[in-house]
Amino acid sequence: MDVIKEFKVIGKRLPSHDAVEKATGQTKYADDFALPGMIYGKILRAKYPHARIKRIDTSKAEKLDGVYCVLTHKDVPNNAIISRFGQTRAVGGFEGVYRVLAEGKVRYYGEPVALVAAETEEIAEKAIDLIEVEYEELEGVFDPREAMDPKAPKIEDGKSNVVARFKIRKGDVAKGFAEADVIVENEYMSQFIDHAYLEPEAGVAWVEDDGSITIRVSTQVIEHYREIAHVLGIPESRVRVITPKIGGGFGGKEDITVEYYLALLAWKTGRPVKIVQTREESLSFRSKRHPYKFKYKTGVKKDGTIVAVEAELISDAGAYMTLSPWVLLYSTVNAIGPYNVPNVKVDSYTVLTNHPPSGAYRTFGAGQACVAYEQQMDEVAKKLGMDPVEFRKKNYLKKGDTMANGWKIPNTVALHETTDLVLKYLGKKPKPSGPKKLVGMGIASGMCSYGRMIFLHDTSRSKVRLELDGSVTIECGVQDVGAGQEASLCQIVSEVLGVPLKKIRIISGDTAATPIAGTTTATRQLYMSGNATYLAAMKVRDNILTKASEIFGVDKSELIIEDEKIKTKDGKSISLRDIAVACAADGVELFCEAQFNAPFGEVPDPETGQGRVFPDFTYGTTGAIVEIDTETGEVEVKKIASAFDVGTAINPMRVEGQIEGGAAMGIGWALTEDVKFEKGIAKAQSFAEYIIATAVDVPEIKSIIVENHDGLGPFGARGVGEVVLAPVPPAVINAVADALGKRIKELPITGERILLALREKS
Amino acid sequence: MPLFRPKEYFRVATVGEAVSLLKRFGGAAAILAGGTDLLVAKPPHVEYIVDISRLPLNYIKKGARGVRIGALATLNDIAASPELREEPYDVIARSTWDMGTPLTKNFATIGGNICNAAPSADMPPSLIALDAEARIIGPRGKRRVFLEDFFIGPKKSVLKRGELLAEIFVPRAPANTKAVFLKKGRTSEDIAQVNVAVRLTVDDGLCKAARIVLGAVAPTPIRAKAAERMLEGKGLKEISQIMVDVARKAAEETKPISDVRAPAEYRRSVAEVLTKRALLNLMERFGGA
Repeated sequence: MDVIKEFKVIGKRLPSHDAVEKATGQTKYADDFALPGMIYGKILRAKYPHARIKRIDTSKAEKLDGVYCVLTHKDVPNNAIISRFGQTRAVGGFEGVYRVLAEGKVRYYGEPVALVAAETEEIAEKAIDLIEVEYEELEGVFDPREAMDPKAPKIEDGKSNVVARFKIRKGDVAKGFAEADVIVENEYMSQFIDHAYLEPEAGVAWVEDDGSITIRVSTQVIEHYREIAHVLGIPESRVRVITPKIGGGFGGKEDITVEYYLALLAWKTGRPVKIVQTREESLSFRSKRHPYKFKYKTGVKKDGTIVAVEAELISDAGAYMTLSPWVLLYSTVNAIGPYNVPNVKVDSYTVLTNHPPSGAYRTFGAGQACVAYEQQMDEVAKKLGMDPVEFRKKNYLKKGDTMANGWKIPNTVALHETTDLVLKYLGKKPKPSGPKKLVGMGIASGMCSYGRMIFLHDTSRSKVRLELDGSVTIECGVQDVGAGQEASLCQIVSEVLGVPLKKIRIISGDTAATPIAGTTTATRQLYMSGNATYLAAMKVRDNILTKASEIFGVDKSELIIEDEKIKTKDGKSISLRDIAVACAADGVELFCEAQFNAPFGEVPDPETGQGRVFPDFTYGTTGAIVEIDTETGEVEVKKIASAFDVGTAINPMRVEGQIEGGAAMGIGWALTEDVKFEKGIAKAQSFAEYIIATAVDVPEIKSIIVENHDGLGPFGARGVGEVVLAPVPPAVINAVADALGKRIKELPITGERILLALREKS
Repeated sequence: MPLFRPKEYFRVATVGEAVSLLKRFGGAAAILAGGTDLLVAKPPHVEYIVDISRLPLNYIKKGARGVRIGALATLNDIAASPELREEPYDVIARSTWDMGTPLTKNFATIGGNICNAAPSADMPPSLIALDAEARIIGPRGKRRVFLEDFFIGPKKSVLKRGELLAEIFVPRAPANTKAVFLKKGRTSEDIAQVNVAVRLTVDDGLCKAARIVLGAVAPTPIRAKAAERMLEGKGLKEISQIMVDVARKAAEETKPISDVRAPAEYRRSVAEVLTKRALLNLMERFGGA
């Protein structure tokens, strides 16, 4: 990376290439697309959270004028499939059966039972009402701890509801607790949270002239085309998935959303089919952030040194396993947070219930762990009578330490720095603004991996092509969820090839047209596709520099590329256009498709959890100041400051955007958001019931960027997309606890919970 | 959630036309003004839309006898109206502050907020506190109803088949009248968990008239009449002393339910707090605190 000494584009505050297009409403999202002859698909959903299907009669629906087809599980070539998530390597023990349409029984309220395609949405809606389903209701189970009981109703007949468990064994916790001066035990929880993206799940599918299927759908994983082909029983080469710009993902579009349904309906009817899920469907039936129940036991010396941590984590997987084992593994590896603890014992379980399948959600289980361990850090500090910041500083991980899973950290952990910066900004805790007010300040530190688990053997490919006029085309299968996945790649190429951003075009997110770049999940695109794009651009750079060195008769190392020119030290230069023409004439390759491979590894030892799981981590700290109205229980977040060591900020504006977005999302997690399932049915069905923080509720946010330039991404960057959320909820929760002098362990911390806590205290 | 595709849409040019359509279709018709309730609720029984948005009912006029607010005045019109800056009418403008985003408030009308008859609606408490009346036009001509008597249950009003709310009339308040509106939601743009409007008229240092109107704590907006009686005839100093008891009495008069937004117990506590704060605010403004 030291080839380029002084950055002209990297690290600069540059507007993204698609900012104007988005701000002016020109971007065509999944629903902003239609084809001639297009028909509409609708989904019939289960009316019970757990019931046997006795009979499905579709005859009346089929007879309705304007109905093209009605499908049930019998019409799906491969209905019960092993769910995979855009991975190229199968890993045993992590993958469960997923049913495209309910078969034999329904396992959650809203589970898809049948599909209809019709001339209009109205007809499709009517046809859905005409399908008769006879159910025999079964006893449901809605609490993961109850579902662990061998006598509990089984979600998969005859099988345990516990679908995955992990262990971490480091050192000897019994010995650790024996050495401890103080032992603190607590339970915590985290609730069901919806992604609340602006764009609900949507897409259009059609059959091409050659009989293959194309699906234009809002997804974080175009590589699901493989699974779609498997469901249809056709070769992978005959399914193409395109994602337009995505109106928000946050993990909710990581597993399959409407792709199977679109593909099946288009396949059966031969017509283009559109499905757009309603907000109600999205809120009530789509995947949610896994709720967790935590038990923590921490042993510390009087001086604040942590000697042992024992933790139990139980997550609610919902009715299908989908991503739950992966998410649980993230939580497990993150369970003790960024602290150096010699003796660790973690036991974690993910359990099926009759809730909609839980799934990926920004931080992928690391955030839930952070909610628990950062509350526990404050509780331990309180018991010790130690300042929570000093207590953390005493135990922060540093370069060379080993994590709970035995991985020795090879690069900077800048937590002392991020915490100091946050504290400096927050300043002294302010006085309450009035008599019935309490003010609190809270700190939390967190970590999140970037890049996928290394036993998945993750790769990404990208292609860079210098055009004959000196402009550049990038082809890369990234899915742009709105976080600037495309824009970062453009900036990297602009830096390497000296081409201005306005002359770079990127084509993304198309399995038939762009190199496969893997999922836009796991904070991996800048790391993986950024590196792949860097490699491709460097190869093109090398080719044109070689040509220029021939022309000028000087060594390549004597040449520099800037301002669309290759220049010699003595003032001679050639434009990129002329060098491209010269290369083309001589058959020198002006393109490169490069592949970047993450570090490869194996699944950690199941009995000890020892073994590297992730390529690397990003670390940081959030601080929050809140003011509580003791009479109404209202919490006002007055200030948020977040600092993260992002390695190198490719574009500081985008990093700040991520930090601010993480803060807004974290406030909702701590204070207002709750899907509220009752007996498997969501009480929040619209944004009038499901409350997210709005612009008015989000305070001034100070985004602090720390750069130690030793990440694994291009130019030393680390991933930021997920970690920026992790410490926000616990910082707010700790601030509330500080204000109240009492901890509320149920989330979200609503006004009524605050009043109850104040009453209990007095 | 089923699609909302009514059979027919009528954009009416006169109030008479609206009334005759509403009479013809009865419960199968819905009025579209700003659409911010109708197009969200998408009631499945609605087959006919009567779009009244072009009727000349968007005005806010102040005269000798009081303020007339056309049913189509939007919440942002009300928020910005120079006619609603003076006490006590300012409380009407204040009531619009926490009702959703500016985009919503550019569409949402005062008539819609009232006729939707949500127990949690933000406009009615202030208007009831100022003794406003609803001016209704129907097949049999015009009639007037005190807004206090307009609501008969959640989503239910006294409007009969064919009737339309045309105007809100707020009578000129006696001298020395002040009012305040307070609201608690989960976030700043949330539907009220509790809202309250309190109005006092003071003459010679004595409270001549008091209104305490609470929303989201009963099937309709309610007046806490026992609490009001505790205030009437009292001097400012005395009111300051009994404020806490008055607020407690007002909370006792509520009949809240528990729902996704808040438990009943919490609503009752907040009703008490907001009433107390409203009184405190008025005492400060009257200089009696």
